Amino acid sequence: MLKLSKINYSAHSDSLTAKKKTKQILYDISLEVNEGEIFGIVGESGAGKTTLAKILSGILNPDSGEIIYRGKVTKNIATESSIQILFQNSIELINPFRKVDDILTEVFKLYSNENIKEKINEMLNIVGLPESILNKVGSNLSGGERQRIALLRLLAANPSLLIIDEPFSAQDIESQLNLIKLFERLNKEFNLTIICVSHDLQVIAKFTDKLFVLKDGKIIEEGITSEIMTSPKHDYTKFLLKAKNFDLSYSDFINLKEELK
Amino acid sequence: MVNVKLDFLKINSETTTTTLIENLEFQLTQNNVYTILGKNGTGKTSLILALTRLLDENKFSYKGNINIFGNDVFNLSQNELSNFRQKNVRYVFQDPIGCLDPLKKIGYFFERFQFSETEINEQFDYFQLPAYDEIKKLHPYELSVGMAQRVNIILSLLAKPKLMILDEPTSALDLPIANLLLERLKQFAAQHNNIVLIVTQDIVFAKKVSDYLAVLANKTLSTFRGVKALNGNDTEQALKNFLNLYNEIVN
Repeated sequence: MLKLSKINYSAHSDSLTAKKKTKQILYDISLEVNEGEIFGIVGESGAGKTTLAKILSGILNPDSGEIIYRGKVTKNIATESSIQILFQNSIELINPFRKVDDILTEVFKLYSNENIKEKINEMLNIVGLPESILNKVGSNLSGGERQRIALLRLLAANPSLLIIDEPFSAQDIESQLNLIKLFERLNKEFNLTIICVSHDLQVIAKFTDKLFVLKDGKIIEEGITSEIMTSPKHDYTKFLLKAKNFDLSYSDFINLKEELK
Repeated sequence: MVNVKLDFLKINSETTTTTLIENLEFQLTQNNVYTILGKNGTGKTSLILALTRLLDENKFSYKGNINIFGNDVFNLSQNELSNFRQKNVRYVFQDPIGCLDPLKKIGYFFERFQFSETEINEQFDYFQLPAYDEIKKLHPYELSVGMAQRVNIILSLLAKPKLMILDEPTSALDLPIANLLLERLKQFAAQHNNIVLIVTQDIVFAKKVSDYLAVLANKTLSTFRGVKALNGNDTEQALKNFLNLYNEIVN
């Protein structure tokens, strides 16, 4: 469905005071996502996860490499309404002064003029929110509710590929679990392909079919999630798995640095 | 010997006239790591702030008794209270950037307490941060949240408080770094006769780091249970529910 081939990306700092710096963030990233898959990208802060998510959704253009979407080389993937991204700060993206009803109706109208009310109610049911939420304004919603409204708003575009950036941060276990169930339901009922980016191997391994491990802008291991979790090949993946169970000690950090040299 | 003792603590919000916490009691002794688990909005942060009267007394009222290292916290004057905090207690707050004065550089917070450079460098190296000499020139808002959280943890560790209180210390840390924190907190409590009190919803971390666990729910706290005993049958219901939820995620 979506294929990246040898993507390179460098960030440029345009600060007025500092000297202009260029830093390469992504190195030769190639990956392929098939229709209907749930795909996980895992890595630590600074590994380039969000940059990769932005390239996948067309917000950033790579310096080199090809993006192939549905068999065609695509220059401007951002214009594809069938690809939607749920940002990391989705909670901040809901206008605090507007009624939820207005926020949603406005977006749904862009895609269809019929039965908007019924469609919204149906989607509210799917994301697990009560109809009464329509009368609230953005500032009266909890973080989790805002994230769901932001997600619902994306679903108005009837996407076939959804990219999600760190949806689980700052949520308690119960909300994380509900969110996972929601993603699984969207994947099954709408055949929605999902790419989920997260630092939390624990949670991401729970619902993804395939997994990519990103370290310093490079993909160091890829494969079927259950296989990676049971028999990781790369030292860094083993390191992350150990970290998941809180079994790492300082000496593991030293050893990893030695091994990666 | 009991070092920290809370009896019948009750916290009321004056603005909404609701009770946040009632009938809460616990006792802490040195050399141990204690963790309070709880979901969002159960009052975890209010509780640890109330412990040394950091909650805004115009908005909240307290009742009960708090005794920390022989100090009756509710009967200290403001002066005595700040001296007591400075000498005995360190907090690692949830918002690691917002709790540092934005106009000061990072170096200022270390120089105030005249920590030794060797110790500072050792901590920075341990927590996988860039060299202290680089970081000290930056303002708090120039750090990433994860870096600022580590800087706050280091500031607390270097002060060697008898009671260290951490609010969601792993929220912005990558898992490998959280592993390092775990190791260091255990050492800090076990080897230097200190108490570490953590509030978090990260149950994997909590189970590994703590000697004792309790759950805050329905406005009050369950008794602290030894982590080793958790696998037995007599675990309290609140703790059980929390663990079940956690197991559902893990398995």
